[in-house]
Amino acid sequence: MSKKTYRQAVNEAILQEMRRDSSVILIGEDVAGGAGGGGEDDAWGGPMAVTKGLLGEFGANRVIDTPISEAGYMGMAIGAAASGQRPVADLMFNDFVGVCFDQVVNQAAKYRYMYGGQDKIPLTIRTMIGAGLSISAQHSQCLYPVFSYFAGLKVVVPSGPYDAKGLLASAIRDDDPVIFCEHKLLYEMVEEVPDEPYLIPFGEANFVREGGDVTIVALSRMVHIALEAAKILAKEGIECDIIDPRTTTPLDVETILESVEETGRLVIVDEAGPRCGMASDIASVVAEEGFSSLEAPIIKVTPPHVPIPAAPNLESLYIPNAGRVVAAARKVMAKAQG
Amino acid sequence: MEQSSEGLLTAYRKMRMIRDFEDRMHIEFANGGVPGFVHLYAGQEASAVGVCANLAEGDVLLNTHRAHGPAIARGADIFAVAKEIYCRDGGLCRGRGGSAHLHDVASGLWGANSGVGSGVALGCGAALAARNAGAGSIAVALAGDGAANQGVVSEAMNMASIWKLPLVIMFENNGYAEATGADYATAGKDIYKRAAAFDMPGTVVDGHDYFAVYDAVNEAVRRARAGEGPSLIEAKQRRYYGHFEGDAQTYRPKGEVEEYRKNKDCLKRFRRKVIAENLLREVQLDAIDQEIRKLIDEVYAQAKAAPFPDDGELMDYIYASNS
Amino acid sequence: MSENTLVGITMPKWGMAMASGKIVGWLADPGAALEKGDEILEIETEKTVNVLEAAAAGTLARLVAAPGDELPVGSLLGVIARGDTCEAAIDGFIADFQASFVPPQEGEAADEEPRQITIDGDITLSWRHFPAENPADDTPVILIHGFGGAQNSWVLNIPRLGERRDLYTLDLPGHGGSSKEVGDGRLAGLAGNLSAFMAALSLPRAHLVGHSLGASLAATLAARTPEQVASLTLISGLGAGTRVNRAYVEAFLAAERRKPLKACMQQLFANPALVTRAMVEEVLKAKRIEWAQDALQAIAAAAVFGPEAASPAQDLTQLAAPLQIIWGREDRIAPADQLAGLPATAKCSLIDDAGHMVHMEAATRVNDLICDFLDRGP
Repeated sequence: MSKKTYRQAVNEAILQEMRRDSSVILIGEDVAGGAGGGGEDDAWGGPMAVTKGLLGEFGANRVIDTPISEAGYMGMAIGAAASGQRPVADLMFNDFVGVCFDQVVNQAAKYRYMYGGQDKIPLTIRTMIGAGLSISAQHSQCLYPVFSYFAGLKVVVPSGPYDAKGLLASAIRDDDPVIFCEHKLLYEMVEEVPDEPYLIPFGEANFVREGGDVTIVALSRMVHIALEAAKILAKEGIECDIIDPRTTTPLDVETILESVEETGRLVIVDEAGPRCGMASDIASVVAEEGFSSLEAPIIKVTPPHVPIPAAPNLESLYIPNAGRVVAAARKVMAKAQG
Repeated sequence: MEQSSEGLLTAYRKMRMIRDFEDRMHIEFANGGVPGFVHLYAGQEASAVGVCANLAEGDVLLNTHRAHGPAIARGADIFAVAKEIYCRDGGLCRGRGGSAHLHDVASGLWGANSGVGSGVALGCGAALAARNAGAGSIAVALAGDGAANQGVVSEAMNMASIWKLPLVIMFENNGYAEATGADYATAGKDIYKRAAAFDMPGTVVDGHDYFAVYDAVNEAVRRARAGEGPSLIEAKQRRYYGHFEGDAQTYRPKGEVEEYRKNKDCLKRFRRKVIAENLLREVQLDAIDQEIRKLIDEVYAQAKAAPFPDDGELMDYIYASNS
Repeated sequence: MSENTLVGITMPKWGMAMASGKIVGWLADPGAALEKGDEILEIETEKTVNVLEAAAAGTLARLVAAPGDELPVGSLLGVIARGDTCEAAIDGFIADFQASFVPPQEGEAADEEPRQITIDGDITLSWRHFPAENPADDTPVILIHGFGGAQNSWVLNIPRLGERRDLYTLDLPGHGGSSKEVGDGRLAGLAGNLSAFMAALSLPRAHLVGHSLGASLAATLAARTPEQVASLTLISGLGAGTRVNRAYVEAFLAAERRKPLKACMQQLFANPALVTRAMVEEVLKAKRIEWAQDALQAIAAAAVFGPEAASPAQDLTQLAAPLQIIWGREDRIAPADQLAGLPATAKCSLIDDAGHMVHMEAATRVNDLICDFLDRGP
């Protein structure tokens, strides 16, 4: 057990899985970096240095720097997966999924089903999500709701180092295509993480905080926003349950409903957009299956429906903050008592 | 290139199976009862059969939506092929894919999937895995003339070449991408010349000449197995039917299909050559013709009688693991 | 104690990391007559919900803290009066207390990091040392947790037991932060590991306090190397052959998710509400570490359900070290009726309203029993 950053936790999961299983290969743009450059090999280890060190141990047959060819190498990764390799393919920014959308949602997601179960596609796609670095509309989105739409994919959204390592190991060992979403602003987060390998199953939400008055469901970086809000609310005598689903497919609806049954009040905070997002998805499920528990309408705290601006002041209006979560919780408490 | 009489008989047999299967499908489809769309391969038999004659167990053939011919050529069970086209239980994909997605892992056949040309990228994956496994297996990706202009194909050819993957890219240029002429849509007109841009050998062959196809593929497969990298083959050919059944084909010059059936047909040419050169006897070929006629009747009868997949199995085969 | 005295009820320190606690509710009314050990207050911390027992007999004279109050460790919560006292005296007592009260600094109560030590060649053990300021004597106490647990099992016992004695705790092989190699998983092997642990820390002799598997382990060590054992406190375990609820162990091993694990763990207590989400989460995290499952399975097969002593209760009479046995009457994991085999002379305390985790569920009582036993000497 030792303190690790989110980045180190992800690196360690990949390292341990690659040591354990020689069919695990790493594919993507600059996953090592420096290939053919004439300078250092393994110059980058990915744009955020997450995969540094792996080329040295596993060699160029297993750590493959690709050309800028998302469509091509995603297709290749799927073909390799169908052939018995266990690829971890890097989609640098989830915003780029448009370039290989067909491969991800029409091939990887549907391959097994469409061919009647003859195959398995044990592919993990690691990708960066999230806003907050002023890098604008095409490098800051949270597209996990889009991936969750497609049956056949599994979607993982870890909010901290401990979850990241255990969920990534599970993703790599999983025999289905998994989209593993790492929030850019969480890479420096530090937490106690076991040194040994361990697995966290999918479809198990984490009960981050117990309170009893309001249920807050939060994803990825928003879990920490929710925790901030909960501290403020506690001073006002409002105690929050905070639930982190950890995976959006499969989604642990049961834990969310359990909490709502007790609190009767639900606030969902999600950095993905207000239309067709996870907040809408979860709200609709609870409205349908937990209606009798609800004492107030469900409130969603999401960004506005706008492309993400670069200007820092505008971007901070975009990203949900603790203040908005506090306001939502107060509102839903007032409605319940009103 | 010398081929055994057994090999030649197998080749004829497969070409005859495909031809009769597709001709029959043309009739059955018109009568109703075949779900979805079908894209018939009749006329192009020599192409797929010439490729598959060079493949071994462990090799992967990546198919396109014009899937019936290559599936039969690769050796998938023709009864299961028919049932899949009819979307019945017992079909290759348990009725979940249909005509355009014939896929049979056991016989080394990977089905087509949506994006035109995506099979070339998937083929890179199969080839990469084969390289890492080190057992000498290879992949052959079929692609149409339309696929030549799809971005992912250039990406795949580039990657196959820089990593010297054991891949053969076989463009079946049948003159039309759906309703658009190949020459019109393809800068430089000759697809095989694009190989040079990706530092791999490119050859062009007459796709109706079984022997020409066989020889070109043979060399490409040898290269791939030897670790010398990918090759590109362009096999020029024509389909006898439309892009899909129901296609009025008004985009084709009048008389084109008749011309090919009369003077360029691959079965007729094969028959002429093997008899003239004493490679096989006419009576052997006639026997095959008769046998296949009966077989096709049986195949269709069984397919039409097979049950549909069970309603209760709708949600089966989405995921491989219950995590 | 003199005739008229006032005793402050203060916020306890349950575990090294506890800095404050929240009042859930009073369990006795103002003016109630209290016996020492009566339950008076329910307190919630980050890690647990527990009941504070009266440290002295008397009248519950004044409630100072109210439900919902979150107060630092050591804060005044209420006043117990012995004999006659007046309101003014109580007011004065409270005023004096508050004037001189200094809550412990934040960070002072931070969790001490466990240390690592390698024994028997390649086994790494995670362990902690709690040195006493004024130890009663040179003989330390070693606390040994049970199956599926870890050294933090003793969180409610360490502060009290550590007042006058050097304490050591460890995670057994296969558990917590220790390595997952358990060999054949048998008690003899684990006892050997414990013996090597003591040698590595230059502890020639110690008082052993073991719970469940830890108790069986301690008893095994006491039989093999009696010179290492100054005294033996066995909680909810008697040694090889202790009769254990097989269905519970199998369910514990099989539980891979929160819900089934919680349902299983609730059997460990007489009051199932004591199983908090945080507690379940901690055990779940430990179970999920690679090879932990294999280790637990090996230990269950060999040490828990392995070759049985004919009558473990009788075997204890062969031991030289002074011995006491503590058991919860409602124990559903190791049923209390197996104590019937104990000779009449054995010191055995059967605690009401407590289950298998008696050292947590009736911490004050168990702490008293252990301290008294250790104080009276061999």
